[in-house]
Amino acid sequence: MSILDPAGPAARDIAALWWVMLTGSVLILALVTVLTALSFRKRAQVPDEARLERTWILGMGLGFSMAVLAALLAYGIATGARLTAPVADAVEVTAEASLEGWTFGYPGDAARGQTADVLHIPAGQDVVVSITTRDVIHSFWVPRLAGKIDAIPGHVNTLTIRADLPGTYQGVSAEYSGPGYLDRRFEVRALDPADWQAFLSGEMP
Amino acid sequence: MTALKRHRRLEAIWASEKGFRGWFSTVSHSDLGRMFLFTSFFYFGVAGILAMLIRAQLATPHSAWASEEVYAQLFTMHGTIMMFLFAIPAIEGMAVYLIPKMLGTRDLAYPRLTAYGFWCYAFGGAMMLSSLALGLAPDGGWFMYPPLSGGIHAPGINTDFWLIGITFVEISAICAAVELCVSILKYRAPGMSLDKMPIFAWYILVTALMILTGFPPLILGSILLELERAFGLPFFQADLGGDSLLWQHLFWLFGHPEVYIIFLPAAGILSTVIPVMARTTLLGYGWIVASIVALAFLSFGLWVHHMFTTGIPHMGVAFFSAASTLVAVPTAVQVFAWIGTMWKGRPDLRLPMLHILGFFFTFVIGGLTGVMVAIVPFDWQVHDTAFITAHLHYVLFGGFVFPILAGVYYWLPLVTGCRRFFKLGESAFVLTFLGFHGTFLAMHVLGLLGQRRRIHTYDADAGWTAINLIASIASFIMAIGLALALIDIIIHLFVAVRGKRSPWGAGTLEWATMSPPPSYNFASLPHITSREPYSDTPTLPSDLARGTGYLGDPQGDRRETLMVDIASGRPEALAVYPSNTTLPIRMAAVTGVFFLSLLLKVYWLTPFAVIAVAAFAVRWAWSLGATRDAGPQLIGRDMQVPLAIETEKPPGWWGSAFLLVANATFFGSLLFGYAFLWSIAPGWPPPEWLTFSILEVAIGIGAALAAPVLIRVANARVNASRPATPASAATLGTIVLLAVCLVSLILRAPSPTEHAYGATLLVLGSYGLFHAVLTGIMLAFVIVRMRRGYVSAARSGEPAIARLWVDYTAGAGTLCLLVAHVPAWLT
Amino acid sequence: MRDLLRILAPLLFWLAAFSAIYGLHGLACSRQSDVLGGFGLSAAAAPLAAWGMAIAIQSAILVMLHLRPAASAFVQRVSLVAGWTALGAMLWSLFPLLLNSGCA
Ligand code: HEM
Ligand SMILES: [Cu+2]
Ligand SMILES: [Cu+2]
Repeated sequence: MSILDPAGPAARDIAALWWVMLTGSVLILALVTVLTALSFRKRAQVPDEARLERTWILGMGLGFSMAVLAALLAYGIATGARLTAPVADAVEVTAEASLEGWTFGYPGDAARGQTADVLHIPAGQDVVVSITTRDVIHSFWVPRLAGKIDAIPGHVNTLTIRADLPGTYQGVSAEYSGPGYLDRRFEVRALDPADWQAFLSGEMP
Repeated sequence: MTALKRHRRLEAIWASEKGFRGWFSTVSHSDLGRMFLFTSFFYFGVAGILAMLIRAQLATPHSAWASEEVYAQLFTMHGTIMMFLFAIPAIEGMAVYLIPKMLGTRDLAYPRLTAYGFWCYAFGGAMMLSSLALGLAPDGGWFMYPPLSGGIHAPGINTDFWLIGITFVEISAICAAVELCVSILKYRAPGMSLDKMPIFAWYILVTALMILTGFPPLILGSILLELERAFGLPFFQADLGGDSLLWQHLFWLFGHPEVYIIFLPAAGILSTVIPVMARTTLLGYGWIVASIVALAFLSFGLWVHHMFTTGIPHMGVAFFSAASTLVAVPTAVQVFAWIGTMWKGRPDLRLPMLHILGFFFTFVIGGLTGVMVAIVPFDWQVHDTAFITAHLHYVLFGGFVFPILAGVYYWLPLVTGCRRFFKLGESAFVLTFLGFHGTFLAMHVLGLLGQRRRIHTYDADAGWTAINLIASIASFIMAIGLALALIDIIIHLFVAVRGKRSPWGAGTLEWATMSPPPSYNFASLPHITSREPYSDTPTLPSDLARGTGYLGDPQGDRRETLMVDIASGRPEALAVYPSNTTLPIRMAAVTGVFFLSLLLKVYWLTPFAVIAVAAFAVRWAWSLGATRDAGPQLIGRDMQVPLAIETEKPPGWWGSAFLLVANATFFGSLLFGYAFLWSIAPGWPPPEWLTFSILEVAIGIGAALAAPVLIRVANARVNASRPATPASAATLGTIVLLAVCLVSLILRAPSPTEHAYGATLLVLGSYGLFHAVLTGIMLAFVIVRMRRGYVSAARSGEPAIARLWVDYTAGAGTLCLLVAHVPAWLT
Repeated sequence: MRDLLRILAPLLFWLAAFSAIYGLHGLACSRQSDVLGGFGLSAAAAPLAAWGMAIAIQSAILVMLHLRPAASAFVQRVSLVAGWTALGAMLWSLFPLLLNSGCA
């Protein structure tokens, strides 16, 4: 369930973002703490007001903060754009949330029926999930694969996920939905190509 | 007159009634400010206990302390009480108590309104609390997202408690905001120009303006949701043309500014206390004023950052990501200005300063994680996890609780005239600080490990057990710390060890009087020439007590103060306040009956309650004014000014103007909702459009155009001392005509329960109609007042107030008719 | 009142323009996009054009604040800072328009 243990490119990009931001934040916090502490030391003369204003307000307040924020914002928007960019030859699946659980639908003919609470995807391939809900708001979240996106009545949202390796990944509904919220979970099973074909043709339950 | 004799005279005029009856009839800002603060801290305790229950439940996996249903009530009520019944009222209390003293005047602009606001808060709060006691508390989370909170999924009364109780409490916030705006702009000591105002007043002014523009979207949302729940108007139901996302927009249009409404006054405390603790003056006063204003506006452009996961196009969220990073800049300016102030002076590590250091460390972390979640992809991961809960507590606890504790410790000597005896406060702070960081630092990690917020328990094999236990133990340490602080403060209140006046050596006016301050604040009002008048003139308190300032000689038993020009602070008018009365509490009680009738669905009672409220309002307004001109008044220092009611813009005009700002925001939110549904909601176009009626539009708009002209004729005739009744009556006629057209619109609109379109038209029409009726009543009131001799060329304020409302109603009515008909006409 | 408005006006305009352009973008990406089409505007061009106009007006406000100073030096200083802040915010908060203008 940890977002720091990514198993797909989207989650990996975000984990990298986190480590960068954490490092920056620790440095800034240290800086502010030291500056605050230094104000308590004994000083011989009172500094001149205009200079203080330049240093603290223009220098630190405006200059420093805007430089840091601009860099971070550019990084964030670039990452966001990459994660929402349309992908070519993605597998398209559907997810419908409800208070009773998740229902997933697959491409192709009717041989492959819907599955409940388990989403099967091919490993190593981009999968676009179209998400909606039958009742209240839910959210589709598989922390090790990607960020979350809400399932909202009357709207269809899409999310691109991709698992690098075959395996099982825990997913949860991450928008409070009343009694039973705790147990609104699902699983994502990433299959290798052979299993995926078998799954699609209905040979695997 | 000697200082003592003057004190006795003023005390006889200004004192509240003795004994416990005085609590119900007091209109003094000092009393009401303290009542606000006491009550809000009581709710802090309640919500704190709920928090402890939450942490007890989460301490171990599969804990059976609280059932799922109870847990939902716990976190919903914890969040709701903290935000609406603790934080906002606490700042209102601080501001109500301090602002007149800091501005060198004797009370706020509308003393009875202060009392009415307090009682609305007290009754609304009691309503919320009773839901908790009955086990029927709201349980949808503090932001109450439909459809979970809609009638289908939450049929019980729980959600109604929230929607109705919170709206009731918000009346109090709106009252306080109108009052504080007018007081800060118009009720200051003479000579106090805008740049000589204590910085705290700037913070409160901006906060009050934000309340006026921030709360209306939520009030609108609550009304719409309650209409959906009670009468089936499907604003948030996707299959009937509504959209649950509309609620999220309306809620966060309020919800984000709300955070700054809570933070700004706390920052105001910091900007006031830090320089005093560092024995210097604030660095960059002008910069700080500009950054407060910037912060206020920017914070209204951020609401979508709470909706990053709702599937809004990436470009749309990118705007809000950018704006959300930008809002950190004015915050950084303030933080560095404070650090710069400490560098400029020589800070002392006294108790308020300890809390300020606690603020710095905590709030900076909260700000940094805030910037993190402003970065969209990161928010996709941590949204709705414990990371967000941790972040919001760093901001709210760091940015509000520590500063307010600093403020309480700083101003307690003023309120009590005593000094602290036992030094519990220091250990209390250490425990609180350590406990806080233990709890919430841990919760960041839990969020990263995938723990959702609002889950009532978790599996032992999730790997969260140890961290949760640490967080829970730390939270109990924090609770002990807070309890110690409370005991410390209570002891301070009851163990009287006389302290010296102005123990911190501050330069602002609130210290330049006795402590505890007398009921009239200042025996005479100072003339201000600098930002720190008390530092400049150390003899100021005794000078004022000897009556060297303005209004040192009370006339009769009038409660007097001065109104000034906004920019320069030049005295403009002499305001006379009403004295003690139980009218506010009675009117609040009747208002409570109105809300209760909605809550319990005894709708036959509702119209009676509305009529009763209106009757009280008329009585309230009737008691003001006079039937003869008093002419110029001597105010001391050889100056003469007219009475406030003999100016063009009496206090009521200013109040109306600011109330209309809030009102216009409400209307704007309604129009936004209409446009949103029309363009975004699934299930449009509606099955049936309104049929276009040229007659309705033409007559309605014609009347709306005529009304402002006619009321101006009436105003001109009043100013020329000529009979104005006919013109006023004609205005009333046009307003009635407008009302008729709006009624026709409501009756012809498609069924409101079948599609959100019809429901929206109903609300639009009713909004217009409500204003037409209100303005009609005002005009009738003015006509009667004219006939009874309350209006003259000098006393022309009431018709001027009517003009304000006529103009607004005409504009709003026109817009209602247009937005209802134009789409119908186009299709 | 006028002094207060001087201080508030630049940022008020930023807020109005920011919300309007966000709304315009939302409208352009909604099923009502033909409303814009009716004015001969495409989904990509409309917000961009509006942004250009907003920057121009925002700068004009700043120039006006310079040309007609307030009586009080303090009010003048604060309103200039507010004016520059608003212009900065106008550029900063809407710059994503430059990156792409789609509805993805
Ligand atoms: C006294 C110390 C406090 C503790 C130990 C505490 C603890 C908590 C915890 C554990 C939650 C998460 C509940 C959950 O997700 O299951 C929570 C939620 C919340 N808290 Fe606090 N809190 C404290 C003070 C405050 C203060 C001072 C405020 C605001 C002024 C506040 C506002 C909120 C809000 C708005 C929520 C969200 C409620 C919701 O999810 O609907 N808390 N608190
Ligand atoms: Cu959410
Ligand atoms: Cu926010």
